[in-house]
Amino acid sequence: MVILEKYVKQIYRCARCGWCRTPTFADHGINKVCPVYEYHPKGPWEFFTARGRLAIAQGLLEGEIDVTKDLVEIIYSCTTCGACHEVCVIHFPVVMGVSKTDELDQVRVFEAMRAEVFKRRPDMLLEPHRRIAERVATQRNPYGEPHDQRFEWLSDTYRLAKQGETVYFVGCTSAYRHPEIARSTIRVLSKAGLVPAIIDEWCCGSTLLRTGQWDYVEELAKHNLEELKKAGARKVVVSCAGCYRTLKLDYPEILGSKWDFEILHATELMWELIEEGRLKIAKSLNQKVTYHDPCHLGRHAGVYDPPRDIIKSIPGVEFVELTPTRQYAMCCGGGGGVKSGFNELALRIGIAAVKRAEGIGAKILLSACPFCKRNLVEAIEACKAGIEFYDITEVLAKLV
Amino acid sequence: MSSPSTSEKIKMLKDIVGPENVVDSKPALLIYARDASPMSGKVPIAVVRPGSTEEVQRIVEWANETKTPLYPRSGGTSLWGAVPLVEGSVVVDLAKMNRLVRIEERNLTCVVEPSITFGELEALLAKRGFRIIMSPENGMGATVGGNFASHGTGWGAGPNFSNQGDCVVGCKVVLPTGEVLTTGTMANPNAHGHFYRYAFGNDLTGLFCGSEGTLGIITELALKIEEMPGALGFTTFGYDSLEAVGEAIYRVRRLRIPTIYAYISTGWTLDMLFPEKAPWQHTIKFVVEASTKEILDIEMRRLMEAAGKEGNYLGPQMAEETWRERYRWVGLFGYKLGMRAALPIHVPIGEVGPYLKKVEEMAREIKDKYGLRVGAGGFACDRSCVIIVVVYFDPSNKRETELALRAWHEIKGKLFDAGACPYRMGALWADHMPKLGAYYDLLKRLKKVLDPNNIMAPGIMGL
Repeated sequence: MVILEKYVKQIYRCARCGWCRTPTFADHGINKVCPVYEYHPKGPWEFFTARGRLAIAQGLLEGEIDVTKDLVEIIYSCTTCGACHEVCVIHFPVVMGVSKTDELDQVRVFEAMRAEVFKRRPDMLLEPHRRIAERVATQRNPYGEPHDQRFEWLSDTYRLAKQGETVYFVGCTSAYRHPEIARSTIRVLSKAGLVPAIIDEWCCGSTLLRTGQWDYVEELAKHNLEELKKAGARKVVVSCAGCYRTLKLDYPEILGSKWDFEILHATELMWELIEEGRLKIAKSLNQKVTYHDPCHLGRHAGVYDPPRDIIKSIPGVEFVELTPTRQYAMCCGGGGGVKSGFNELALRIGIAAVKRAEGIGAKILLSACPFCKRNLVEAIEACKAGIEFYDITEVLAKLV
Repeated sequence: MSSPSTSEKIKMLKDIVGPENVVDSKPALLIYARDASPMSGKVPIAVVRPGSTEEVQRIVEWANETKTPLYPRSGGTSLWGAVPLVEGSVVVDLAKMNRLVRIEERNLTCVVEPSITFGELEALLAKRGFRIIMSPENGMGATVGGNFASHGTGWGAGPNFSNQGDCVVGCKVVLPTGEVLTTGTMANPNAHGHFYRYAFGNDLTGLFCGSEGTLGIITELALKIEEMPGALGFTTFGYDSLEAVGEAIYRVRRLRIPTIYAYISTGWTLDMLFPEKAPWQHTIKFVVEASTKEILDIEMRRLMEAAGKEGNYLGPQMAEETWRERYRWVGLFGYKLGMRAALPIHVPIGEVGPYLKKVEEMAREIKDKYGLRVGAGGFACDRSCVIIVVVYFDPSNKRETELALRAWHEIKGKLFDAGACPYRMGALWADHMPKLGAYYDLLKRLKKVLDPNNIMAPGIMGL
């Protein structure tokens, strides 16, 4: 029990106040929080909420429970979106500015629970997650696509260098599943006169970190570090919110001071370019538009404004906020290994997100993450919603 | 007939509510043995999740047949040990029964299921221009059913209302033997809804208010609703002595100043919470409501005179901020310094000062004896004031947790002996119930009559 013991203070810090269950405080735009509690096909059970999971963590620490199939199903049916952290009573002193220290980081604890379970019973790992690890090990991406085809999406229009101060870290989902996001990113940056370099990137390891399979991530991180060094990179631009969180928050923990790059999400860099006047939005978009905060970008890394600033700067756009939004925004359902492990749950959460967007009259739902795109586009198709989804970069690519 | 085995019982439960509404795996059950207090209960054999009064009725009938103890649960946020106390029990999780059933606009009431939270209900009512009268400090997580069943009070308590029960006009309850009872006017099936609690003889609604699941499972509640207030006023005063705090609270209540929030923070507690601004005076934050701005101005002038007699005016900001965060403020007082073993008590509205002095002495004793910090705050109800004594501890430290529990019980005993009245009971106060003599005897007799098999929440309140 080595892994969880590091988190013992946090695990026992839970006050069991119930705010992670069904908190509503209309004055603050807080309504539903835990997507799994709300939309799990089995309905609302307390063990799906943070306080239920932390009770399980206590049970594991105290030897009260063993690793069973039921336990694995519970702890892996969490999108690790972190909304429970934002409303947590223990986090409130930080919200009020009277404390600087977060004494309970639910996402870290839940990931550690998975790592603990995997360590004790690797045979109990969910099959889709085991396959992801296998594919990353052999093909350097969780989809099992050939590594040598990672940049097939790159048309001949753009000749990207292998060296440069600014490197575009494409990410597995943009490279293999949503290359339109990658192409749009290159197009937009090129319009601003900034042609990034690319490297022989490997999966950042996010999917492994989220599913408790930590061992192999260091090797991935080291490879990416070496490649970035070889390229002479100073800035790393990513499209994927999952890559962003991993490169910005997890790699420094894994690699220490060796990891010394400025990590930028594409929306951060693009907003910078718009503000500097290097990127002009030439066309208008006369539509009612809303924005879905990717959990890894917003809650985990605090990037809320650049995507909104970009959207608001598009001529003709009528921007409407979802409720809840920003730090209280609800997850798309795709993260934390839920999409691969429990697709029905992921889709139910995604459909709820789409319906919230439809409910406020939006015609276009924007986000800034290929992984959110995967789930939300599927959700739109599943519920035949009258709304379109785009990554912000795709929209920008059409307007610049 | 021999009693069914655990697995047979679970199969029977699944037949009643469907397999998707029963869980019996150990990891899933752990949270249901805990509430927000430091007490741990016995892990139940299963949790069952009914979705209607009829399903609750069938579960209760089953429990009588199989002699299985039932512990109803809605928010699971109690601070006083509302947890399963005997082995082999089943928790009845009312999470799915969380709807606003209807608004009876012409009666100025609404009917809700027990597990709706105050936050949810407020948001739904606000869309129709209404509000409820009272909500607890944890309005985000606490449920209406749980608060009524445990004699809750909270924000909104003022010269006219002190308890959630004051705001309830009727309820629907599945009795321990399975019959469904509706109280108040709706006992008459021809009534125009819920509009009067004290109909048809004895106040049977009151029988269930504060019963904490021992006399049945509440499946609906009818609450008073009213229009949003026209105007709110905010002010805070600082006081050098606890006596002055007590006198200010008493004067404000005696003069019937319409406060909906009169929140006491003791200076020593503020010193611990916000040391960077220490030393603190004791403070009272007031929120006053009135139907118009003109009336509010008059009431605020009266408040300034009554509360300001020995107080130092600190402006409106602190009170306004606390009110704005009223459902989350507990995150500071309650948990900034660690986990809390909270002991809320009612004391007479005119004796707040002496009781706070006693608590201050106890806080010093506990600090000397156990090395633990003790804070205290409170808020005024109508004829009583709630004082919340909090022992802070690190729950990851077993020794400290044991000491905190010891301190908690010591403070409880001393305050009871000093004449304070428990605010909410659960398992926490069970050991003191015999001291109530005839009152406790009657409760036990009532319990025996209504629940001959003692299936409903055995052990809670010593019943």
